[in-house]
Amino acid sequence: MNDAKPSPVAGPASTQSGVLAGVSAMSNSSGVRRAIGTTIGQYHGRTCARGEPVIEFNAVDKAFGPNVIYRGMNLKVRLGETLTIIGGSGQGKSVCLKLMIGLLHAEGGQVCYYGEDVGRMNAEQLRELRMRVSMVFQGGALFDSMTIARNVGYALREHTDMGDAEINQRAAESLTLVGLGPDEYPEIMEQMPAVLSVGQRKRVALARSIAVRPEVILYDEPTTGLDPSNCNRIARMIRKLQRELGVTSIVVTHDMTTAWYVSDRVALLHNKQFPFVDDVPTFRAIDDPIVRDFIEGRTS
Amino acid sequence: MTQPTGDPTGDPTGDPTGDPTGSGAGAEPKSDEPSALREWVINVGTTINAGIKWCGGLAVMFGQAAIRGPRRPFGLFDISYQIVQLGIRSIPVTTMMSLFVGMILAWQFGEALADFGAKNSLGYVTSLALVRELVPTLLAVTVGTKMATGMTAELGSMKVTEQIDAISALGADPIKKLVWPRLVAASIAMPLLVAWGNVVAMLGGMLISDTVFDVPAGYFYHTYIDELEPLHYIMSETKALVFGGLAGIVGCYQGFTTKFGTEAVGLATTETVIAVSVMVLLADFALTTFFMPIG
Ligand SMILES: Nc1ncnc2c1ncn2[C@@H]1O[C@H](COP(=O)(O)OP(=O)(O)O)[C@@H](O)[C@H]1O
Ligand SMILES: [Mg+2]
Repeated sequence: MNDAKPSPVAGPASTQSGVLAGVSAMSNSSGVRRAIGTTIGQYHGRTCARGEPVIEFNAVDKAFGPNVIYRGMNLKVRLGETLTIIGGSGQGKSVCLKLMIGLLHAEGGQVCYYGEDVGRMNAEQLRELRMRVSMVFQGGALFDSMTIARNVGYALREHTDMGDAEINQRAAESLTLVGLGPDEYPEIMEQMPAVLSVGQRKRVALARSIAVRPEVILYDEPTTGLDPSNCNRIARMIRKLQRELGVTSIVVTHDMTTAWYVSDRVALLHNKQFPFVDDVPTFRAIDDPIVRDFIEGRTS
Repeated sequence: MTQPTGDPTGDPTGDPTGDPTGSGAGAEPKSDEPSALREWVINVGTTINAGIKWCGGLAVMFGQAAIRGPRRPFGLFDISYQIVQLGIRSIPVTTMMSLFVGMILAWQFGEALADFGAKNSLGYVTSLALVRELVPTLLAVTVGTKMATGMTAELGSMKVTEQIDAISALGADPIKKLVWPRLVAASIAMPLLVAWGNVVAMLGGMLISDTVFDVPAGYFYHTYIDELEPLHYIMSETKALVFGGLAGIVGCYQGFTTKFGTEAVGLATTETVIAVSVMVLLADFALTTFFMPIG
């Protein structure tokens, strides 16, 4: 619970500490969650309470040939929190997310989910992991050969034996959660991704990720390339999903406004590690020139 | 990766010349001639290395597809969709290529045979060359390349836009979802196209033999078929199967290994053209040496 301290800066977060306690029970009762059997805080008989680390990086080394991305990197993500990762372009923020869902493997150290090393998981375990930890890619990465409905229902079609009608209904539910429900946008289910605007595409990508009601959502630069009002909308959505679905979120961004708004804690990627990880008020008060330069947008 | 052809062409020349000059180039202060040589040797070495890596990657992907593909669900819808995409769409170009290669070959052979007064054996002579060699190889180099580049462009842009990662991230298997249907479809479509191409090429030959050389089409047909044995059909179709599979796996591998950026897709696609052509010719040679003693 220690994450959800009311923070004076991040507006909506302050109203949340009370809500969060009840969220777990509520969000676990979701229809899809029951159908798929992903319960928040429980995995393979292990449990994790709110505020305890659910994902842990232990002394992780990662390099692409001579290009070293991480050296001895440590980071803990606590259940139920929104952790924002900030850092310059090309420093390895996306790599960090990809390590978490096993799209990339660390050469040294461990990336643990409920204490299980993601790097050692076999195909079946990875499949299970990816139903619980889902990623929203930077450009959305919608499948352009499929309709929006099929895009959003992709994971359900893959992992459950639901019929088409039920999948479509679940897809519509997820779309409604991101504000693109068929009530407001009657044609959306049958449209192809190409006709959507960039902002809508990101929201559909978000809907696709939440269709299986994951426990953890990884957002790769959700607001990059959007106009301010769309940025806001996405940021509010991240908050709302945390509240309504009880998800743990990791948000990669270099947009500080979004970072302050959505975060419980902020981690700064610097020099192949995360030397500064703190809750928002503490982080904003850090005096270190590295932090100050980054959050004030100064180039050193 | 930049030169998939590096392995076959580089291997024989690279090793013998490579080692002595490599050690001799230690004499640094001489002139820039040895260092240019050294650079050349290093380049050859890098190319060979890349070529071997490329072949290894191709083999690994083929292995993965062969292991993970034939499991439930078999993806029959995707396979049939790809067969339509790769096969049906290639019928016009197949027909045209085969018709013309049949006509041209009959004409060339006809001229030569007429000099010996042996133009009646035109059917005997053309059939083997067409069925065993020209139709499958020519179609593989044209239609096969077309299939492969299509796959590279499609999968490459999926790779660049992270859609392939997204398939993995949603808990599905990109090899099973994307590579397997294309590989199977190409291996089915190619033999079918070659079978059709064989028929059309023969018709082309009949046309020329009848109109240009006054050998009746019926007679041409009779001699043409007479010359062929079941093994020749098998050879033709085996080649088609192998070429189709090669086109499929090369096209997919190139798509999956596309680097970042949209130019990368163009680059990968261009490489695919060369890679498929070279692989097809190598495989053709291998299959010919395999089948010839039997025939
Ligand atoms: N699959 C990959 N293969 C090789 N290099 C990669 C790969 N993915 C990322 N990189 C490299 O890792 C570095 C960090 O990339 P990334 O995590 O995408 O940066 P960002 O912080 O902007 O998200 C970049 O230099 C990139 O070139
Ligand atoms: Mg990135």
